[in-house]
This record gives sequence, structure tokens and C-alpha cells, in this order.
Amino acid sequence: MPSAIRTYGFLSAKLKARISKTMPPETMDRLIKARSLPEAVQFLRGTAYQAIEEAYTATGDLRAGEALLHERELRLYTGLFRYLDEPVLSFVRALAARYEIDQVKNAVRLWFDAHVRGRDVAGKSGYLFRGTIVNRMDVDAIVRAADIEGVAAALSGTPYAAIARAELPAAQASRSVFSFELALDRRYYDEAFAAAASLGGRDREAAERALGVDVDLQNVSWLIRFKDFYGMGAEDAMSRLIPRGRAIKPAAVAAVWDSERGSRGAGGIGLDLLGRSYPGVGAMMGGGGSAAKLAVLEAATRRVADDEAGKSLCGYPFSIGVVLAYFTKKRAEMRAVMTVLNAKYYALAEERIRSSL
Amino acid sequence: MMFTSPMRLLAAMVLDADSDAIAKELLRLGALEMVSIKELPGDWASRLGKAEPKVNLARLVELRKRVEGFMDMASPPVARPSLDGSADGEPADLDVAGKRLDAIAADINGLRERQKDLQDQILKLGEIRRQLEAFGDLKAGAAASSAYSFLSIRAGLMPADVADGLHEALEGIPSVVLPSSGRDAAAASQARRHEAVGVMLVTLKRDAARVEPILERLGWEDARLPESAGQGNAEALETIDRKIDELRARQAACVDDLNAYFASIGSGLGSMWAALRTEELIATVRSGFARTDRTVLFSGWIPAEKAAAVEAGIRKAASGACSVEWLEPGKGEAARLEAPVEMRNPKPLKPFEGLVRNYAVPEYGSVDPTPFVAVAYLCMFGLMFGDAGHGLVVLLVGLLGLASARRSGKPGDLYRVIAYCGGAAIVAGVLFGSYFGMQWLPPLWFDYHGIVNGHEAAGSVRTLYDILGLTIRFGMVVLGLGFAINWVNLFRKRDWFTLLLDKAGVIGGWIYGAGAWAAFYYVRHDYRELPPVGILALLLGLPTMILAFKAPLEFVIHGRASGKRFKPGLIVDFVMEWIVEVLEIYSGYLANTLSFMRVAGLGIAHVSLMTAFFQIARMITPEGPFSIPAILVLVLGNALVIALEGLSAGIQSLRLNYYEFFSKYFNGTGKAYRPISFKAAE
Repeated sequence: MPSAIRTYGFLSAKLKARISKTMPPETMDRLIKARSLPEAVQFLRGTAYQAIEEAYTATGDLRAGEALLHERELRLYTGLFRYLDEPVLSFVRALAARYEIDQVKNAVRLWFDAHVRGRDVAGKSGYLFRGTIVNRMDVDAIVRAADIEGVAAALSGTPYAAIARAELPAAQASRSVFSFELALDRRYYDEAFAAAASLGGRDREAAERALGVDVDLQNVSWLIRFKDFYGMGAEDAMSRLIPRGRAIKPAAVAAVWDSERGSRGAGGIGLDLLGRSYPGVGAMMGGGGSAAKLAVLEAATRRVADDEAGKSLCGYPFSIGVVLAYFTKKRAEMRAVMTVLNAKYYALAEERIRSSL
Repeated sequence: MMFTSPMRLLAAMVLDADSDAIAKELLRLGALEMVSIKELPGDWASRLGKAEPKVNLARLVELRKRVEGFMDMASPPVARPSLDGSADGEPADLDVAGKRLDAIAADINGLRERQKDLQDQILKLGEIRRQLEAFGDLKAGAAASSAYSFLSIRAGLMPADVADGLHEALEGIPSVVLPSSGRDAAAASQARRHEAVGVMLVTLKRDAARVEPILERLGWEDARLPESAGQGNAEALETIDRKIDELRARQAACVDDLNAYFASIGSGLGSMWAALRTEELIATVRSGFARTDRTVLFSGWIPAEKAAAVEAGIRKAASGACSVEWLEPGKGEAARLEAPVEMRNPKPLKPFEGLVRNYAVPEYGSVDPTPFVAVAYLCMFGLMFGDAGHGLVVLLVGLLGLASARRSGKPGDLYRVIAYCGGAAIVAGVLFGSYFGMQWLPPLWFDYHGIVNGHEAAGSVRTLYDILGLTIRFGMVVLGLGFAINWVNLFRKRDWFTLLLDKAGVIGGWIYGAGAWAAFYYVRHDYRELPPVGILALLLGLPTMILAFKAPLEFVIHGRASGKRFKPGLIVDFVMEWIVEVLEIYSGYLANTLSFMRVAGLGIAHVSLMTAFFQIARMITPEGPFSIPAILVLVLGNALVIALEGLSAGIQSLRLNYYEFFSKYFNGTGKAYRPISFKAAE
């Protein structure tokens, strides 16, 4: 097995150099304070997000820039494959499936909207990512499929075809793709944990830690949906959670599900779970109604992920932790930038934007 | 030029009513670095209030930045007008300015929305295109569309006189209109019968509600799709591509519209920026004033040569109703204040001030090292990068960069330094007879390429050792200059102890000079004979022994004053200090001097790389004129050497200046002079 320095020396330097281009807080502040969308987009000039500015200037469409940026980031991610050897390569490929699953979800959502919900989706597939991440697939064939079998056929040759056949009938009946997406996510984590298990000691520890935090955050966000939108009982909800979360255990969920805080809504449960499981989140909890609690919960989950990524970056540089931390931080930053720009498009107030970050 | 500019401290008092005029005049003169009046000694400071700005400074800054954002949005950006404070316009109305900027933002938003509408149409056409491609032919598409596609593909008949109007009627609706008459016999005969033309129409199903009334109005009559509809697929795709191109052209026209819009409002934005920036600067200066009931007080540093002009300006702005007092740095009430440092060099040397500042700001009143750095830096670069052809390329890069910097309004000092480096390399190249690695003209000094490649050479420099010796001598001159500058600085500071006994003082210089002489003596005697012991004892032993008294003397002069008492253990400290200092001087100065061998090293590497590329070219074309691949190798080789060696030579020259030259004399404890000015950057 090659040494950690040989495996990660170049990668660590490359990704840390890119992290140094992270948008400084003052630029983000100027973005939030901008009085209009064109003024906000102007601030992206000369930053890592210049692609958004260029695409917006050419098309007037924010989505064009977002798609371009997303594509570049994916290219960077898949470009890492050539610097890696087994078993790290398998693990990074397994993580890349997350992007692919997003690609499948986006295409199936469009299909579902058009064919099951009867919504108008014309022109909405323009920005779907059409490149190959891990498995080759035709997203347009998914969108224009006649029925579930058509979707599965479009996904043939990928592990998602079987999931589509198994889950989409129920999704069609319930008019919600949630169960399908849940199955995709479960598969992703199963594969990622399996790939992590084959890594060396330090890498395995870092990978399982990062995945565990990710699972916790995903579980918390699902719990909210289980409680608020589906009215599930504790047992049903727990049976759907992804195992191997780092800190949130089923017993903790059961403890808060029907408690006083739990009765105050899913936001309360999420906060309670995070507060019990991650030190520091408790400090963010305050009063406020259900909506406010959900906003705080979202911010808290992002803070947890960011803190964990920060710890990885400050730690031993020659491990998979740096790769994981880079993509966690990058995803969070891209999300924040696009949230602000979309909020500017809808002329939302500064306070509202800040609360959603 | 030799020393940093002498400064004087101004303390002035004017009537509050004149404060804005005074602030404006100070900004116009651009010579005052403000000092809080409260920093001057005296117990009166607590009785002074703060001159509050007359406008909301934060709002002013916010508006000014918004204007700058719009100015930069234009392509090319709207240039910031130069401010001189001469405009006597009304103060900017912040509410009016804010509303005007909101209106501009709304106009730009409108244009962007137009672009986005076009983009939506492009996306929809793209979707139609992808579906048509997937169907393979229109007829299959029509069959499929009835079941699940987003597309509506239909054929129909229309009165011939209105068929052409269908394109215009469907404007804004993503669609493809194809004539189908003549492709199918049945349809053609049907068309002739009704004096109508056959049309195939592809639209999105979602647009049915908009399309149907149009078709009805134009007399559309559904018909069977012609058998040859499949052949229309390529035509349909072409039509879509054409439409997408048209829409893209319209999007580009929106960008042109935006630029035209900025051209129309550019001067207005410039005026608004000038008014806001002027007011912001005045408010900022005013906020540094202290006030009593009816007067304001201010203070600041001014270069001595500008003091008279500043005083005249203040008296004029205050109509004589003012009190002006001048203080000398380091004396009286100005004793506790640190004077800022202005480096005042002729314009050609200004770019090298940046190299000095990049390291640190020299101490106030010391020798300004800029001219020495300029000469040393260029000599080092020339010796390391001695090729006239390569120098010409570097010179052109510098000049092009400078032109680009001028166009964009950015500082061009770095490009000036690059251009100077190019010039130095040209001079050195002519001296060494090197032109893109070839000897087009005989060398004026010595044949660098010939020596490195082992050819016989005539003159004072014949071997690689001669080149190494040359750079060591050059290093000794640079270090010697460093000693001399240090002595001048210490003499001016009347710091006699350091001047005499510091390792960069007279004693250090003595040891260095004696050591250098001894080393050359040894080399001249074929590395077999050192100078006589008596002379060595006098030249090196004596100053080394004198150094032993430095620490005790320092204790006597400075230690006792600070309350330290003599203990026997101090003797060990004195001895250790002496040993360490002697080691530092001998090993440090030897390392400093040998460090200059890198100048020869880089120069030899430059020649070797060029030789290697010529050998590769010769391997490609063993005889006669070079072939095209060989020329390509030479061109790429030259480019690589220029980039790689240019960067190395630039960095190494900087390193030698910073670590070998500056360490002998430079005291970077100064504070840069930053006067308030209409021209000052934010």
C-alpha cells in the first residue's frame, strides 16, 4: 500500500490551495447587503464564483451559472480519480455517487412532476447535468419516459434501476417520491460505509467519522419530514433511519419523539437530538416558534458539518479527511452563495437571508 | 533622495465655520498625514470635543460603493473621474442619489429579465430538439407525443395567404414550423383542392392554450401526417438550431443594450461618484478634527518642503482667521510622536520603492536604500539573465503590462520593474554577446556561452572560476556598501557605541575587510600560503579581541542605567556573548559573500539550458539550416528559459537584496507616510 504522504501529498496541497480561495466573510456580507441581484452578482467578479457572474451577464439566468459551477466542481471531483489508487479510489468513487444520486433525483423529480402530478416541466431539464459521474445514464430518457418501466429502462446498467422498479410504484401511489429518494440515499450510505471499511486505519476512522456526521444530519432532516409531513410514529420513523450515525442513536430518537419537546414539533426533536449529540449546538437553541426552530435547526446542522470539516482540515493533512472536508465546505459555500443570489432575485430582506444561511 | 524626507508637525486652529473649506484644501494639497490632536502632550486634550461629520458617513460610503459597482458593471468600466476638489457643486443629496441608483438597478434588472426570457425560450427549444433527436423522425415523434412526450407534433392545412404569418404569430412560443406540401401526394392533392398549403408544427404541449387560438384564427385544419414526415426531422433540427442562434444573438444584443445604457448614464454616474467621494473624504478628514465651541483644531505631519504651501493654503481657506504652529520631529511636544517616512526618489526609481516597502519601511531620517536597491537588483538580474534577445522579450512583457495597467487604471510599478529587468538583461546580453542563445555579435566583455561550454576565451574572464570570482567580488561590493550605509545611519543617529562595536559597525567592517583580503591573499598564492601571522593578528586578531570588550562596555554604559548590578556570573555571559558574536561574524559574513555565487550559478544555468536546447535542435537537424521541428524546439526552449530563468533571476535578486544587503543596515521600523488626498486610494 502506498504511503499516506504519497497518496495524499499532492491532493492535500491541491485541495488546500483551493480552500484558500474560499469566499471571505466580508464578500459574503457585501453579497447579502447588495440592494439588487445585478449588484450582488457583480461582487462575484474576481472570486471563485466568477462563472456565475459571467453566465448571468450572458443569459440573465442564475441557473446557468449555477449549472456551470456545479459542472466544474464535478469535473474537479471526478478528476481526483486519476490521482488515487485502491482502496482510496473506490471510496472516493463511492462518495461521487452522491452527486450521481442527485442527478437521478433531479431527473426523476421532473418525470414525476410531469407524469404523475401533471405539472408543467417544459424547459426545466435544460440545466440537468448530462455528463457521466460513475455510471453512464441518459437523464433525458428518464425525463421523457412513458412510465415506471421506462424510467427503469433509462437507468438500466446502473444500480438505480432496481430501486426505481421497487420504489416508484409506491411513490406513484402516494404521489410522493420521498420513499424512492430515501432508498437512493440509503444505498449511497451503504456503499460509502462499505468502501470506507476497506480503507487503512487512520483513513477509515476519518471517513467513518465524516460519514457518521453526514448520516446524523441526514437523519435529523428526515425526522422532521417524518414527524411534520407524514405524521409517523416513533417506531416507524426509526425503522427508516440510516444506521451508523455518529452520535444520534435510535434510543435518543425514541426518548425525544414523544417528549414535551417532541410534542412541540419536529424542529424541537431535531434540535434536542443535535443538542444532546453535538456539544455547541445547544448554545444555538433559543425560543421562537416552529418555523424559527426549523431555521435554527438547519443552521445548527450546517454548523455541525462545518465544524467537523474544519477539524479535519486542521488535523493530519495526509488522510482522506482533507478530501472530505474540502467537498463538505465547498458544497456548503456554493449553497450559501446560491441561497443569497436567489433571495436577491426574490428581493428578500437582509434579515431573512441571514436567517436562512 | 539620499535620506528619507524631513518632516514637520503642524498644529493648527481655525474657526468651525471654515472647517469644511479647510478639509477640502488639505485634501487638495494632499500633503498632510493627520495626527489626532489628543496625541500631543498637555492636559487640555480632555476638554476638546469631536467634530461630528455633517453627513451620515456610513450611508455616503454605501452609496459610493454602489455607484462604483455600477461603474464596474459597464464594459469597459466607467472610469472614475479624477478629484481635485475644484467643483463647487451642491452637496450630494443622499436620498436623491439612493433613488437614482435604485432606478438604475431596476433598469438593469429589466434588461436581465429580457435576457432570461430569451434563455427560457432557448431552454425550451433545446428540450424540443432533444426530444426530436430521441424520436428519430417526426412521425415517430407524433405517435409518441400523443402518449407521453411534452411535444405536440401535428400536420395541418392553412390558407396559402396566411401561412407565412404563422411564424410571426407564434413569436415568443417555442415552436418549429415546417412546410409539408409536396412531400406527400395525398396531402399535396388535398392542398391543391383547398388552395391551401401543408404545414407541420412542433410545439410544447404546455403551450396548447396559446397555440390553439392562433391556429384557429389563421384557419388551421388538422391533416394526416405525410408519409415522408421522417425526412423533415433534420430540417426541424436545423430550424431549431437557427432559432436558438437567433435567440442567442438577441441575448447578445441585450448585452449591447446594457453597454449602450451605461454609456448614456456613464457621465452621470461619474459625477455622482465624484460628489459622493468628495463629500466622503471631507467628512472623513473633518472627523479627525477636535473642536471647542467655535473652533476646530487639527494636527498632522507634512514634508518640510511642502510646509509653506500647506500653511498658505490653510490661511487662504480660513481667510487668515487661523493659528498655525510648526513642530520639529523628536523635539518639544512632537518628541513622543513617530514621524512618518516619505521616500522621495526621482520618477525612474519610484518602482523600486515598492521593492523596499515590500520588505519594510526604513527608519525615519535614515538612508533611503531605493537607489542602491535599484542598481544592485538590476546588476544581479543582468548577470543571471544575460541575453539581449531574452531581455527584449522581458522588456516587451513589461511595456505591454504597463500599457494594460494604464488602461485598467491599476498601478504599473511591477511592470516597470519588469521592463527595467529586460533592459538590464539586454545590456548584459550585449556585454556577453548572447542573443537568444546565439552569438550574433561579438561580446563586449566576455563570452559567457563559450566559457560555460569549455571554449578557449581571451580577456580578464576566461574560466568558470573567473565568473564565480567575479560574482563574489560583486557580492563584496554590495556588502561593503551595506556597511557604509549602516555607518552613515548610525553616525546620523549619534549612536557611537553601535557604530564602533556592532557586527555591522566599524569593527565588523574591519574584520570583513581583513578576512576578504586574507582570502584573496590565499587564493593568489595558489591556496598554499596564508598572510604572515603578525599581519593576521593585527588585522583579524585585534578586532576579534576588541569585540570581547563589547558586552562589558554595554553593561557599563547601558546596564547600570537600567538598574542592573554586576554579579560574577555575568563574566560567563560576557564570554559566551563574545564567542557567539565572533562565530556569527566569521560564519555569517562568509555565508553572505558566498551566497552571491548564486548569481554565477543562475547565469551558468541559463547558458546551459540554452545549450541543451541547441543540442536537441541539432539532434533533429544534424547538418545545415535548422528544420521546422528544430526551430520549434528552439522557440519553445527560449520561451521556457525566459519564463523559468526570468522568474528565478527575479526572485534570487530580491532574496540577495533582502537577506544579504538589507541585513547589514536596514532598520525597517518606520511608518509609511500616508497623506490625506483627493487622489488617495480607499
